[in-house]
Amino acid sequence: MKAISRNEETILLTILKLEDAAYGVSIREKIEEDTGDTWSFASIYQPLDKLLRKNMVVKVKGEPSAARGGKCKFYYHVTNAGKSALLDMRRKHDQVWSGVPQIILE
Amino acid sequence: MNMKITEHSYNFFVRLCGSLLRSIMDEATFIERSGDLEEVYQYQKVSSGKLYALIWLLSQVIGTMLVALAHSFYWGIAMFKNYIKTAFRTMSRNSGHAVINVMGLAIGIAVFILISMYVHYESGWDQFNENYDRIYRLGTHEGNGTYICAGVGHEVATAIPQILKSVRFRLRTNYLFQIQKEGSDNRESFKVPQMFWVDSTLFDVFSIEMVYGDPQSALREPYSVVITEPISQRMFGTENPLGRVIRVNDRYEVTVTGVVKVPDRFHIPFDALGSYCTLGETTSSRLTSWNTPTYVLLPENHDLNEVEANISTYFRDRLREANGAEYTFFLFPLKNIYLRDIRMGQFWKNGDLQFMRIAFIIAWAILLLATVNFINLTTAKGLTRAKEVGIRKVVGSDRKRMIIQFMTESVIYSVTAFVFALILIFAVMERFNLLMRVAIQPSDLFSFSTVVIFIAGTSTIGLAAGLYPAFYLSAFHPVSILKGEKNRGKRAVLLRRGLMLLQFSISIILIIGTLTVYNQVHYMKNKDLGFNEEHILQFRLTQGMRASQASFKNRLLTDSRVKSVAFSNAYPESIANFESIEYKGERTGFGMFTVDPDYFDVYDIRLKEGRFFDQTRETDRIGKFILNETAVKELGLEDPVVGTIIHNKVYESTAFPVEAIEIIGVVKDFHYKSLHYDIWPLAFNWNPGWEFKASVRIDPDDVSGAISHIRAVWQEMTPAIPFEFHFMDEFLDRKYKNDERIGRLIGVLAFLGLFIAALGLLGLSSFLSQQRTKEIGIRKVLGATFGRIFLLLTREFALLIVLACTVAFPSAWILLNRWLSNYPYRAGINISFFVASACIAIVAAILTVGWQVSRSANTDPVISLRYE
Repeated sequence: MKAISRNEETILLTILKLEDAAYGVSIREKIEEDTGDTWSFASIYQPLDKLLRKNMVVKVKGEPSAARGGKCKFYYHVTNAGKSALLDMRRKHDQVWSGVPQIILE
Repeated sequence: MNMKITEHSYNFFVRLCGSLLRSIMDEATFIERSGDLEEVYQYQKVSSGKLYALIWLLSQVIGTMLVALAHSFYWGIAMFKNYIKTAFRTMSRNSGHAVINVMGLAIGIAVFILISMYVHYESGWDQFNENYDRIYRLGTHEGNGTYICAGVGHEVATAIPQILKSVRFRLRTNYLFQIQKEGSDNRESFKVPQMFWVDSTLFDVFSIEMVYGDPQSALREPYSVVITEPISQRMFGTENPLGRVIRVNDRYEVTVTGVVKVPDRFHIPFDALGSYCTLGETTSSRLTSWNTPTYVLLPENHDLNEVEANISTYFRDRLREANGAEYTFFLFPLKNIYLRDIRMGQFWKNGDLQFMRIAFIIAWAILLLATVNFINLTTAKGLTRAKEVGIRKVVGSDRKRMIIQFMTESVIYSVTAFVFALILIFAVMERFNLLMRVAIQPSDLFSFSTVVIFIAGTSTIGLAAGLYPAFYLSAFHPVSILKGEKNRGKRAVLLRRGLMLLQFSISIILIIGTLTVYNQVHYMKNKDLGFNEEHILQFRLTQGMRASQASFKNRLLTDSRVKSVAFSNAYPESIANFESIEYKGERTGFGMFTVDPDYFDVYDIRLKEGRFFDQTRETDRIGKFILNETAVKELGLEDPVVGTIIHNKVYESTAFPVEAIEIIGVVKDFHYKSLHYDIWPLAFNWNPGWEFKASVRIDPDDVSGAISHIRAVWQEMTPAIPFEFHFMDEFLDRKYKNDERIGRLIGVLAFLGLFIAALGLLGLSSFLSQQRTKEIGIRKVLGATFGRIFLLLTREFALLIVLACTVAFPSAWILLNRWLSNYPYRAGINISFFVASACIAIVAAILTVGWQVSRSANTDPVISLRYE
């Protein structure tokens, strides 16, 4: 199981949430909506490229649009490998968090 | 929002962002990313305004570029690992070639660094002084220029406002120091070669470090002496000598008031410093006797001309009254003394500026040679890697990557060469220091600036040398290479030949230079000096012996092994006193020797006109001069010279002048100093009272016998003091030692230069003959003899050497003429040297090439043709 970083995890989850409408701009907006953090494009693309290389994400070409100056959008979808990586991360996360005394975190 | 920013500039920035992005990524990615950015940009233009949108866009693009940069860095490093691995593998596969290449470059670098360090060392003399650029030496335009009278030095600091401090130096050589041994009546004796009487202001002007004692008070009291650490160790071992009493010249006693470290590169070499006030008020304020060098300290901003004028004006009247002459003073800066001030009767050390320049140029030449070699060899070897280039290209490397690969290899070679150069330098440093009479430490190599220079230099050499091969090799077409087509590359051959030409020219010039320098030295050593300098002992009489000089001389002469004896105030090679005479409206300076009549006999100085001093004529002692030919010429005396009377107030080395002098004789010119110097006008007079230097001519057949006789007589007269002397020709020899050094150094450099060129030849010829193995095999099969093949392969080089000669000869001529103009007496440039050097080069070339060629010519054609 290939490990993924925190940022990569966030992006994968965002793509899943966006279902068929996940592309550069929408991913960025959704992340800002969910977390309140503004990510630069560079910090979106870099993990995306890594995920592409790890085959956890695939890219699909879309329609051109006027707002983009006549250029196409590219949509991203999570692969099975990506999904199992996410589940793995979730499991590990829960295990590590369990047993932490509640009182410390107040 | 600033509405003044025009639409035009907005568009400009947007387009700029576009092109920046495009430069990093390929078309497809660009389309996606720029599209995303544009979408958001348009939105922001509407919601937050044009300016905000633009700034946001720029920041995004910059962010993307930084990430891309980091990425390529990471991958770049990954590739480098591969290049380095390949480079080492290549090196071990072609170990012979690698060794030759690295060695040649290492030698070149080592030579360059050593000579640069030498130049740096020599340029830093006297810089240990805090006040380095404010120290000047006082001198007069009349007379010698470095010796002025004590009285001026005494007052100049108080009288002239712009002079802050002054310090006088009075040189006394070969003093005898004696200390009482513990618990015995015996005294231990030590010779002190250079002792100066100096003012107590010494430490205010020069930053000399004191180990024991207080610099403020050490030289204030009379009869105090400050000694150097080495002398202190010789005399007192490790104990603190402060307060100890020393007996000087068996005449008086001084107390040690301080010990100083020998300053780093001080132009005045000294062993002991005594307090000037010991000499007494009369000596200290005397305005005659021009024998006291004086240094002054000026404030930060000063007008040199003004100060000089002030000094001249202040002393003018009194000096005129005392000396009967006018004097103009000038200030000579400290920073020019060591390298640029060489004069008669000097008491300071000199470096050789001329030589420094030559050595530096040669160092560059050798470095150039070595680098050229490097380029040549790398290129040549690279041709054999054509297959590797082809395969790499097929597998996916592009030209850019190939260039980087070859440059990396080249840099690795040069770094390896640099490491070896360092090893070489450390190994040779000791002998180098001795040869060049400098003191370079390994630690000098590692100062911050030098390390930076080394890194920069090595990288530059590696990169520059690797540039040509890299571009040349990476341009190969993979298909044609793998098919086996040989790329003859006309331009490559031309360049290679050009570089070899350069190498040989430089080597030939160096060889001619070496031969000429050696010749010049030989000439100077053997030229007739015009007097007899052999088998003459020189030694100093003690004060106590002065009263009984005559009987001393007689006792010496009782032994037949002692040929003649004379006393004088100076030996021929060191003029102690300078005078000037005004005649026919012009003032001429000359050196004065006070001698006794036997002087001319001892030194075999030949008479031209007139007569020598006559022992029986008492009148000869006053106001009678003998001049040398140059003096006659300089003064403009007309025939008959003998008998001319000149009315001048002249000081015959005492405090009492005569009003007029009569010339009673003229002697032929002789080279009293080494052949480096022109002959100065000289005058001799006879005047007892100041003659305490003895010159004795002895029988060459029984030198040791003569010496023991002299020593015996000495012991009788002065039992307490050991007899010490030196031979005159030893002294002269030392002068030529310097030229010998230069000759030797240039010889070494010439050898190294030729060696590097030969290395280059070796590498190249081995490569070339390998390339033509097949051709040679076929020729052998067709019946060619070894001789014919040999000629065939060496033809290329022979032509090159001839060409190199045509370049080298005129250059050598020009350079040598300039160097020889330094010597008033020269041997001239010998044509045979040119011929000889060409022959040497040819022989060297034939040997190296021949060896290689014979190897391939002797291989069985079957083996060489089998490779198909």
